[in-house]
Amino acid sequence: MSEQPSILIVDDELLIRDLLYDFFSSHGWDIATAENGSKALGILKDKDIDLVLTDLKMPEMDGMDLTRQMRDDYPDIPVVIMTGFPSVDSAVAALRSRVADYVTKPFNINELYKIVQSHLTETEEK
Amino acid sequence: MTHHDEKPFPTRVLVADGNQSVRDHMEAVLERLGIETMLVADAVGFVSALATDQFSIVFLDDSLPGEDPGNLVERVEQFRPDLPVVMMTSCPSIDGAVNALRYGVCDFLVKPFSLEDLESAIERAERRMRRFAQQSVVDVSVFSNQEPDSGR
Repeated sequence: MSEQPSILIVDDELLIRDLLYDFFSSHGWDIATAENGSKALGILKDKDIDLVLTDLKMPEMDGMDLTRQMRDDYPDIPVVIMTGFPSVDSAVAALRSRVADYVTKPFNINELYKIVQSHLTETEEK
Repeated sequence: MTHHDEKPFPTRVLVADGNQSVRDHMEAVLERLGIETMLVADAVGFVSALATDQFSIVFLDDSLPGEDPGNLVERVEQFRPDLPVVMMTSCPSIDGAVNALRYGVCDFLVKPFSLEDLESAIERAERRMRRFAQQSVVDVSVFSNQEPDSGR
């Protein structure tokens, strides 16, 4: 991992993308954003990403499909799922897809920062 | 599920559940699949079984009497980091599933579950064990490629 973590934020809501972009950028992190899973896969092809923070429900390719695709192509990149529609089924699907964490919206952004930070540290230690 | 010229997976599993009828049912179903089973009813029996016996999967109820399930998964990691844990629950909740995800278990089954669900969980456990073994080979090869310490 480079000195500053590189995070890919995937959410179809511009407001959330902007909020997270501004927050993580203010910590000096390198942030890329995408509005759905297919665009995220395009970014992953071109850029070194340390962690993906993705919404679950999105048009075109949702967060679960993105995660499944990433498990094949980028098995070592941790994925943190965010959702405004949590359910037992989606949490179990996330567990089976080996996501690093599952966070429900609305979230406390400082808590989210701690979660992301802990998964980055864990990856670095591996 | 199994590979040619390899021992079938799993050979022996640990089932930890406080409910006698669940334990009996799991034993009967697993034995029909040709899998040897050890049953425990509480956290003390669970920890003792882990320390004294070899298993290829652990089925752990999330309300096993005696200790928090997160602590029990941690115990498994201490004894055998490669050993896959399948968590079971009778009271499914979002928090319970998210906690299981954070504990790092390989599957989460809501009781009562079907034979297909059980077989899928066993397959997931096998894949996880294989990934762990591959990862260990990579780690060992990284060490073996390092220059020997000349100071020793």
